[in-house]
Amino acid sequence: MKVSSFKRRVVRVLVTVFVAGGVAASASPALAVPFVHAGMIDIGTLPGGSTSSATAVNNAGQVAGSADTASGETHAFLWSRGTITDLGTLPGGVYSGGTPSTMRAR
Amino acid sequence: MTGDAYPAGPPFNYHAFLWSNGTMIDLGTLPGGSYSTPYYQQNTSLNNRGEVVGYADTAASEKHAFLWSKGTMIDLGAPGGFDSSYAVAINDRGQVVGNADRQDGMFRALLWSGGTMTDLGTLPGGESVGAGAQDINNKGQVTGGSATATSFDAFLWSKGTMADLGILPGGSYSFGSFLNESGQVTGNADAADGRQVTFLWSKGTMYDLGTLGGSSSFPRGINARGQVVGDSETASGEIHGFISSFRKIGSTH
Repeated sequence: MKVSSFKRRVVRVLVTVFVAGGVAASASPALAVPFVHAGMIDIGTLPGGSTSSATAVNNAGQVAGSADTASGETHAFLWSRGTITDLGTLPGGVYSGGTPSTMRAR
Repeated sequence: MTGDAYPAGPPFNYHAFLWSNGTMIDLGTLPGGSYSTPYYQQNTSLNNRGEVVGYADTAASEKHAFLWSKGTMIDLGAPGGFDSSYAVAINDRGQVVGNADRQDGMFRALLWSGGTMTDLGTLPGGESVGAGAQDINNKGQVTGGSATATSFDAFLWSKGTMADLGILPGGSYSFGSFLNESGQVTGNADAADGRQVTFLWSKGTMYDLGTLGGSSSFPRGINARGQVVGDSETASGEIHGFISSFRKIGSTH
């Protein structure tokens, strides 16, 4: 996914459902949390690729998604404890992806 | 998984499909309609009973939310005064949430449960703009976003009450995208510096998960432990998947 399409997607999500009213900024409630570090870890990419997308996480913290490869194909991956594994494609195919239903977030 | 595809032959309109055990099932259309599609933007349009939600056109050419269950596509209708609705999520009890909207921009968060459509209302002060639902868990809790008098805030709706999850310091909006069975919510909000970040709301606090160095990130899922995954722009402008990190500083592991 290119940056431009990513941004379009974000904007579409916002516009589709939420930003209908032109809401104004306001003073925010105090949300200081001094003893917790919250952030995110980069899943990375497949070797030679530049783009990845994480679509689901199971209760063991394993992540499923799709990523591009050095040859420009898109492959499903599984990420576990810092290691990303290329799940390959069906024989002769150039694409795999989707979200395993067993890894959906509920 | 679900998606949509073009059936063979005219009129070449797309139909929602369910892919199950190696077979692609065409979900068809509503009576008199020409197309159907699941809700793509989240993976919430399919439950563990093989039921699918989305939207399709009616014989009167209105866009209506549908529930596909046991081989039948059911028209979930739209509230009075609204000619458009769409369903975005279904839980394992068959409860569905979605939204209705109309030309003047007003929109409504809806819950369909046991054959009854309920308007979830809005946060105080947001009545003239509206609210939108995005996900429902198996307890029947719903998340989404609602206008308020001064901003647009993520909400957690539970047993008839819509709670305001707030916004980030210096921000102007937030909305909930996914929730787990514990009622932990992830969604998007703007930070004081204008970045569009992913948040985790847990036990009364909204945590800023930031980005991977770029200007925006968005969530795609949350597990039972409150771990969030999604996509983020990196400092170099690439898009990479992420998993949230969350640790109590100074605590022993």
